[in-house]
Amino acid sequence: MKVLYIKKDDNSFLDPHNGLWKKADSEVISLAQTPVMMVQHLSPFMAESTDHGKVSEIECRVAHNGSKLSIYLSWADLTKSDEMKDLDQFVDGVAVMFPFTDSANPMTMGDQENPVNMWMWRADKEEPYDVIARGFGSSKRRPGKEFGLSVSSHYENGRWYVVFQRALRAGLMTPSQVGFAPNKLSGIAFAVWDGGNNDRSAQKSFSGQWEPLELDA
Amino acid sequence: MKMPNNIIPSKAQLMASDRQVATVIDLNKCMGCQACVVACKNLWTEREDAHHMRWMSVATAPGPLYPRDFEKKGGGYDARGKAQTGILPTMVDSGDAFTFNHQEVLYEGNAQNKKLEPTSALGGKPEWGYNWEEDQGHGEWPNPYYFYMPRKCNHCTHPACVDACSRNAIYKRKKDGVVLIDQEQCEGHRHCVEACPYKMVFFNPTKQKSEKCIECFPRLDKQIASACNRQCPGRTRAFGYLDDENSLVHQLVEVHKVAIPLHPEYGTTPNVYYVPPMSPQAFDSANELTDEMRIPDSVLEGYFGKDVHRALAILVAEKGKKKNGEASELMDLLISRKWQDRYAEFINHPV
Repeated sequence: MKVLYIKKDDNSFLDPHNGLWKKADSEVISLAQTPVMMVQHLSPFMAESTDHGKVSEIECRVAHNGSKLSIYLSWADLTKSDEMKDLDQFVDGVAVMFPFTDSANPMTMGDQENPVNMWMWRADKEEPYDVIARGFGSSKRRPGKEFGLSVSSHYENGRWYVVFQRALRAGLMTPSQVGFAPNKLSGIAFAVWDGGNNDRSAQKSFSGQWEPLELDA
Repeated sequence: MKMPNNIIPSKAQLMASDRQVATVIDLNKCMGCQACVVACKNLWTEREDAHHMRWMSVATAPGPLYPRDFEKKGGGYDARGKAQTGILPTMVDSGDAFTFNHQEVLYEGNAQNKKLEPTSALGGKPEWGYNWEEDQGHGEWPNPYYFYMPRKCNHCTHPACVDACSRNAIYKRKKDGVVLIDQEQCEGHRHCVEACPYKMVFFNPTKQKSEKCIECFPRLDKQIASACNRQCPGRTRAFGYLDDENSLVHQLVEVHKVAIPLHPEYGTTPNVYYVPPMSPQAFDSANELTDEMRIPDSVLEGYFGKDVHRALAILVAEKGKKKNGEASELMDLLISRKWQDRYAEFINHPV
């Protein structure tokens, strides 16, 4: 996926309806139900799940303005779940994942030697999470604000629109974040949780592979 | 594919403990006073975000018990040890958390024209609540019956909650087998709630984390019995290490074999044991007393499995000895004339 340089101020990118997003390359990524049998050692109960992960695709556009990287995401979800009204309810969410190393496996959320970094949005939270993981069951959520991560979200006509935004360069004080640089190839993977379908944790839709991410100079 | 597991403890490690504490509850003596429930609530769940949680509950059996219809919500293991999916209790299933119009009725001069009314935590008139079926009997006249079912976390030897947590946030304490949820690790996905066949894990929607009975472990560390056990005015409770031959729990569970677990078929090896209820003798159609018990065998078997018959036979025989003026070690143990006899080494005072 090409990441175009678009000369606009940071805030413009956070508006999913801003015309600038029409200039960015759009790609529709297929999503699949996570193979929860892979986490049977972590939860034999979760491994019994059969009806999670029904969101089948996500539209993605990525752009930068020289200082910030912005990621526009949109997917269909007819049941807007943005609060837990009862103890048996779950909320919608989306996450993008980036590898720290060339060997990080997107299926397993990395491993001990090959960590991954995620940006996660949940429909019931103002603030996104910056997540780091070294394999299944090891994810650590950190307050996105502390890591310079912003998010905007909007629900309209049965679709969610979410834009993540963060500085291209990882903060000096936060080495456990991925950084992005022009002409440097990176990868991105996707996950969507449909709260109305009781999606949470590994019970979700995911892309399962790295889509190449190439920044324009 | 490289499967990382070097930083992740195995389920066997999380479930391992050197010893196991256990609770015995004598259902012949439980009078449904709710003192244990209040003791627990005052200590642990008297919080705005936890009003719907009763880590300790007493409900009238037979009935939907607490959380409502937990026996129909799945979880646990089948006979071959295969994990069984479960469903989550709602706020109402969890007994709700009513608020009352105290202000309006008591402080605004409406005492003569308005009634105190509960409002559900979800708004509106309550549909169901904690202890909703209190003292509702079963059976036909002249043989009605019911008994109380006090319940708390079983601190299972093979806890489904530990098995279910994809974040490995749940573990058994090494020294005593108490099952705890690491609140830092928990992300509120509720796989544990679905997996616990007893539905003794509760979701905190404000913190978005799951919580459960901690067996008052800070008290245990000072050799003080857990509050529900200690506060029981009916001397129905025993508490201690299951392998401590001098403890009452060991005597009742291992030696006399009159204390048996609830729903052993759930496959988690629970560590709360019940002395099953000996019901009053039933009347026949001519209103003559018979030797039949009023609580049907099928009801007791449904709760405690087939072992209940053996346990009841021992209890009836030992009770008979006392009735005939003979000695019965078991009856003396169940009576326990000193409260200290019930809690093994956990007999320090809480203050």
